[in-house]
Amino acid sequence: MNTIRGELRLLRTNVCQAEGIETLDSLLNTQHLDELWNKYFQMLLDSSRGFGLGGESTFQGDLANILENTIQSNGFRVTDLAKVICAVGGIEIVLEYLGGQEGFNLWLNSIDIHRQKKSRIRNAIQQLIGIAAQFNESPVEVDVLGDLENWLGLG
Amino acid sequence: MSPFKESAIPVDTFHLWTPDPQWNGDKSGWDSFYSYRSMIPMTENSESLVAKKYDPDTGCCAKYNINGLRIEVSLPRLKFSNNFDPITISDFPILIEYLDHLQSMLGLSFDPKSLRIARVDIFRHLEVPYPAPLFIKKLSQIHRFQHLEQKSSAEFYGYGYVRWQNKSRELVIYDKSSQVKQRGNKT
Repeated sequence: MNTIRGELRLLRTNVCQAEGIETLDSLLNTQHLDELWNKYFQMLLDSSRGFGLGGESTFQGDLANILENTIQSNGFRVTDLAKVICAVGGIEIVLEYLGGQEGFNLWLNSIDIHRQKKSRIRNAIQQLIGIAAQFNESPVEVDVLGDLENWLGLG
Repeated sequence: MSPFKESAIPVDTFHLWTPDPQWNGDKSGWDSFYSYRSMIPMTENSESLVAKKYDPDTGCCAKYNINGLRIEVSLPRLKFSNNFDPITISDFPILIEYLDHLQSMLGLSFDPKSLRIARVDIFRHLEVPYPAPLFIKKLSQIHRFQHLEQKSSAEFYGYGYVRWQNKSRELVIYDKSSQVKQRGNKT
């Protein structure tokens, strides 16, 4: 599971006062704090209804997200949405997504593989297999409206 | 139904302020004294004098100047050294004890009950079975609601963070899992 955090920040004394949070004792009124949080997130939820944020299967979104994260990892580059290349000391290890039930094709693209340290190659392959495992969890259902309602305790 | 225990206080950082704390003039507990305007020689009577104290263990920061005393505290960090879990009502005396400790350390005297809340961050967590950026990316399509608007693109933060704000309020949603992985317990 992944954790998303929401924070409502009241930044000024007069705003805190207007929202009924004035002294330390106010922090003990947890019901009021919950109500306040709900008030703002209800506004967000109401606004989100017009944006078509209901449940949908987002395999491509997930794929894109994983690849975006992959780009941030050292040593990887992405040629397109279906191909991840991990270059380790001159070797290119390629994870190619073949689509649907076809799964993945992992291949080495190097003429100089024998000069590389085995541990480097093993490490790179393990990382790529890790990415493939994440792909296999797709598709996922992302229902922003439903999740917001759950967050508000309405679900 | 709240995702937290009923007795949990869903507050992270907050600021306390009092315009008239008593200070005994002892500088030893403070980190630094400086002047707003460097051209003015710093004296204890200077109107531009600022005294600061930062506690790295709790993240607490106290600042004393002509406008009074301002204390920044994170409730969860007082107990857990991170801001992930909320403290509960039964833990609340920790805060009072800390304020007492602060008074004796900094040579200050104030009534905790007289302190005004000058900022408060209320938080909640949501667990989702998919990467948080998927949720944030979709939600960031809402550029404005009520009087709050996104001034920085969520895309700029890799969809790990989205904020709607105006001058007095902010609503922030971010990928906590990713932050915990990056920073460990120092959140």
